[in-house]
Amino acid sequence: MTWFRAASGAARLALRRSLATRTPPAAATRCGRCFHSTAMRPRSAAPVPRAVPLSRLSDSFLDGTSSVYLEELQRTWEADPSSVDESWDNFFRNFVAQASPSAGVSGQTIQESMQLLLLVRAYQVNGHMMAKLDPLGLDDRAVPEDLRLGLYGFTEADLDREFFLGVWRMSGFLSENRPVLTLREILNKLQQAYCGPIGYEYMHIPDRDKCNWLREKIETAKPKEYNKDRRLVMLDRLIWSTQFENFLATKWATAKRFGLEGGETLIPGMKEMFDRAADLGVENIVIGMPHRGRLNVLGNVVRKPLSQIFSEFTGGTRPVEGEDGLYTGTGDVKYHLGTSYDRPTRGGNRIHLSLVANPSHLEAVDPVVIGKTRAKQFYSNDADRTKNMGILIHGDGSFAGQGVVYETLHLSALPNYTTGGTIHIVVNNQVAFTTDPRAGRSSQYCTDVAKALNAPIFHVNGDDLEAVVCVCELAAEWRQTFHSDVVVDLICYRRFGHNEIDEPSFTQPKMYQVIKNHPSSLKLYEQKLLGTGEVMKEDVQRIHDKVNRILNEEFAKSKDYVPNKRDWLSAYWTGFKSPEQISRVRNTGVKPEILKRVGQAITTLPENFKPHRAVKKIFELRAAMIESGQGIDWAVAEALAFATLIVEGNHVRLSGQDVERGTFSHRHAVLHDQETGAKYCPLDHVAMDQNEELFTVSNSSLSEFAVLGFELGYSMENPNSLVLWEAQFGDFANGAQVMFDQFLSSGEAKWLRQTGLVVLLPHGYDGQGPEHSSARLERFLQMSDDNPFVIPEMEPTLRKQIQECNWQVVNVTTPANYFHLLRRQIHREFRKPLIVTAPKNLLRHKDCKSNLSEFDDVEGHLGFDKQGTRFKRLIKDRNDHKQVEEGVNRLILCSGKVYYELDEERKKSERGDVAICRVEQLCPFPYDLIQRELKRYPNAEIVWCQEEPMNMGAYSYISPRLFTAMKALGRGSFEDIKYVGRAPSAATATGFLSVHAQEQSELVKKALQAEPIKFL
Amino acid sequence: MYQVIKNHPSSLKLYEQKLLGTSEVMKEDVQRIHDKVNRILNEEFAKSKDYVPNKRDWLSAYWTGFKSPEQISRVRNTGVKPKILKRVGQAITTLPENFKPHRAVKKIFELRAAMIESAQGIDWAVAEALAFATLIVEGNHVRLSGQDVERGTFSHQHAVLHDQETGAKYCPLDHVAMN
Repeated sequence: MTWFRAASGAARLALRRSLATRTPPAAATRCGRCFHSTAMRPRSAAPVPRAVPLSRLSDSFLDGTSSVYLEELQRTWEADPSSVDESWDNFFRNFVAQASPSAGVSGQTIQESMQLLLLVRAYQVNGHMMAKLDPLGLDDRAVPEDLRLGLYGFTEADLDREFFLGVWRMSGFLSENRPVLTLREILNKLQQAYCGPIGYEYMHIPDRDKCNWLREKIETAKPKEYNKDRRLVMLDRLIWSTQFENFLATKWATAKRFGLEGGETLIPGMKEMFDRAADLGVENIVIGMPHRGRLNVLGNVVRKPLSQIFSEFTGGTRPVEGEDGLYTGTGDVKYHLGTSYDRPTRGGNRIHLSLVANPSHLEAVDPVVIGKTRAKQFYSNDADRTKNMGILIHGDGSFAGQGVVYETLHLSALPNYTTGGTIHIVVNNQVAFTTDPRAGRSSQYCTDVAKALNAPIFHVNGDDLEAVVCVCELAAEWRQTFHSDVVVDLICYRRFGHNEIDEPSFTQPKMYQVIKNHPSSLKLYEQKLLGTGEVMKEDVQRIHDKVNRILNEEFAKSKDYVPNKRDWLSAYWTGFKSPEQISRVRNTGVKPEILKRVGQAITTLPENFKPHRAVKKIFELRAAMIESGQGIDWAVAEALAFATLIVEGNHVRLSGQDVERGTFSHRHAVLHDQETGAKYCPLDHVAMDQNEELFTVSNSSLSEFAVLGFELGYSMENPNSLVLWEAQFGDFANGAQVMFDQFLSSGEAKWLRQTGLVVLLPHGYDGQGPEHSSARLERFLQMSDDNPFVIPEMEPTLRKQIQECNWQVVNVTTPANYFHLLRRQIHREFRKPLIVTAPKNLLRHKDCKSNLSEFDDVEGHLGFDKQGTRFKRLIKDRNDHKQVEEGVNRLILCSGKVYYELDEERKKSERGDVAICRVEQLCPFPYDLIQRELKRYPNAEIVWCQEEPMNMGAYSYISPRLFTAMKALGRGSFEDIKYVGRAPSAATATGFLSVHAQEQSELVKKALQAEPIKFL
Repeated sequence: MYQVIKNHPSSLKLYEQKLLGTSEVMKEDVQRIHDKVNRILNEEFAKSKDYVPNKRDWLSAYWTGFKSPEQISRVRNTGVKPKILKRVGQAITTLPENFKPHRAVKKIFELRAAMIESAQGIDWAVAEALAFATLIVEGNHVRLSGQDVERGTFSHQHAVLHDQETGAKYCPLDHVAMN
């Protein structure tokens, strides 16, 4: 009887869960859907079982039960239901369904009803373990014991007995509406539903309605069938998918293309998914996928011109650079490129498809795709998230192995990151390059990571085209119904090696023996259709001939293919300039009255709102700053930049860890009522009837990689938005290093995609140790693509310096300059990423203040000479310095907060003969302004001062560029650039506060020392 | 949240109340422990003013004898005796008789055996294998990990071979030292 005891435990859990979720009678009577009327019933509705406290169930329901006791109890209940305990009355009523005319099928006992329930549940939970998922038949998985009939006490002799299976409030096979079945029929249905070419995993989802919805789809009375017309379309698509790869293999036998052979059913599956999604309201699909099969998807799904794909195989035709001076960037391999297309669907709709460009770094594109999808939802007012959908295609090894997958999945239900569900398709060819699944993951399936998100997972045999189509449609339906993530695990194989010249038999000999003789999915499907008599051989051949003809026509055209000059910009980007076109420098100042009004809006709190007293004081101080127009600090400057952009109609979105308050308790973008806990965001109230999301500030999950990727994708959708990501501390940006290296620094060059994303990286030496001092400024500067030995055209009307550089790196020192910097991102006709080393102690530094007059667009007034109406790439020393100051014998160039310490020391030591200039924009280098200062101080020795160690910070970037500027003016050579800063170091900063203080003091004193500074 | 925390008793307070409630522990017992802990904390606080860090308390037993940056570590030879190289080289280029490698892999191993035999034309993969093997015969542990390192991304290492009929695996470097 041990099996019964174990089963009883499972039943207790199942029953408790089932009964606990039941609605009380009063609510049930108002919910018409709770009843399942049937013509067979003599009464209008079944009586509703009464709720029973769990404690009573756990105390007496199944404990101590035995078959004899249960049967005796049943007999007693049948004689007189009121003679047994109320809980037993509910139990018998629920599981035998006395109210139904078909109840009490001859010989069926309570015990057997429970056993049947457990049997059905076992198939729902573990049926996938018996499913025929591997097209190669190499999987040798142990069949779970709970799928065996014997476990439940049934024998062969019971197969033809009839049983009733109805359960209240359950869909599928356990639905009350199902007819009486023999045990054999029940088993066949269970195996048909759960052990065929599809393995369903969904019982990890705690939501009863979702499970019932799936059961309704899976546990159908008859297996799903497609009519002839649908089958012909599917066949046509599979032929295209297969012939495409065959064609490439024939024409370019040794080219690397990462073909889809072995997984060709992905293409018709995706197309059917898109058709179904369009039927259900989807208008835009954003796709991210790796190299495997990408060319096939580009050509057959996203309809990139085949002639273009073919031309890229012949070395890739590069647009003639001389012609119009077009910017072509440096390009990328053909299986990384993206494209977009407006596709007609079966239902007569049109759907816009975008395939996002991606690097070889597997899964790195995932968060970019969902960020772009989210932005599309914002701009199309898709509040229900039913019109814009993201689809991610994954490899099996990378889905299990790359951490960014889990990071991205964990954005899926966060309020400010959700896209209402992403469909994930894993092209599971069961070998990661040369590595078997056993070595590539600890979990049974590569998709198990998705269970953490309660995403249903549909494993499907990739050779069964109709099964693939079925689950692709089901995934689309799930996404449009529940707006959450769903996974299709397409189990296939890789007919060739990792790429076409790779030999896979070295490491997977048995697998490739099987593959060698394995028929393609197309061959299998053709045989199936021919076997049904629905399709003739001539019909199949006609499709083959058509496809071959078109492929050859496109091949012929590819020889003369001329790329479109500007086919890469979407509608939102119309009018934006590429690097070879001049974009005029514009003012970024704002009218004083607008500044005042906006400033008042962002410093006013609602009357009944009770902020923390310290926050209240901060806001009172802020209101005073606005009122007096003086002492504007960093946080207020940032808020003014955001607010003024918003009133101009732009979207502002700021994301990162703890950005709502700010790591340094400075921003206070979201306030919390101390009594009610209600939230208030001043920047949501700067414009009339402001869209709730026009300003979005969001504390992100503790992820750098996925969140930065998300914001990058978001920023790429529409240029009229300021999208910012802030690191907790600058050093932690390295958790997202792939984003900087593969996307942000080189995305425009590789894929001709602009972005104006702003990255805020807290940076500054305050003695807080190695991980909380540096933003690794040197890494970003080193990735800059400007030539340090060439001074570009610097005349303002002809300047394209920033456009020709891959990104901007700045280290700003005043609130006003920060204000103009942010606004400059939007008030230009191009977009470039912006890396900002953000402040820490400057947030509250007594001298780091600006006057409101520095923010406005008025010329000639007091304060104008301090800031002007634009971002200052370099801040000169004093306003009263003449064009030439021969009495200055040292010019210190520096960047960031060290300026304030140098200035303080200069006052203390009364060094009137030292000038200090702040290089606010490090990259691209402001040659014109540097040379202006060199001319101003003709007798000065030139010093670069930084608080970072010599092998970090800006020194190695600045040194050759400063040399170039000096050389052009005859001011000397490398040895004439004196260095003041910390010594080279392995860690960014010392761990000892006292050592830090000493180092900082020494470098500041050295910079101001009376005697000349030695070279190093 | 912080309104609740403000009035929330510490886990220590809760446990003290629990123990006092069971009468297993007296108030005096609790106070005695508090006093002891406070006394020791204050003693350590007094000592901290004169604390002198240990100079080398960061090395575990396995690292005894290893030098820190300011100590000179003499440059040593890394060459290996010719006879050892030969013997080890033969071990790592020999496959078991009944093992059937892929024909291309078989050819690679024949070429490797020829390199060892003639002592000429040693390539990168063989050099790496010799380095591993000689370290192993000296008693060291060698561990190599990474994506697809068993064959090598560029189909060069072949540290693990697969029998083309049985699928069995063979690792030559597992057979360079006795036991």
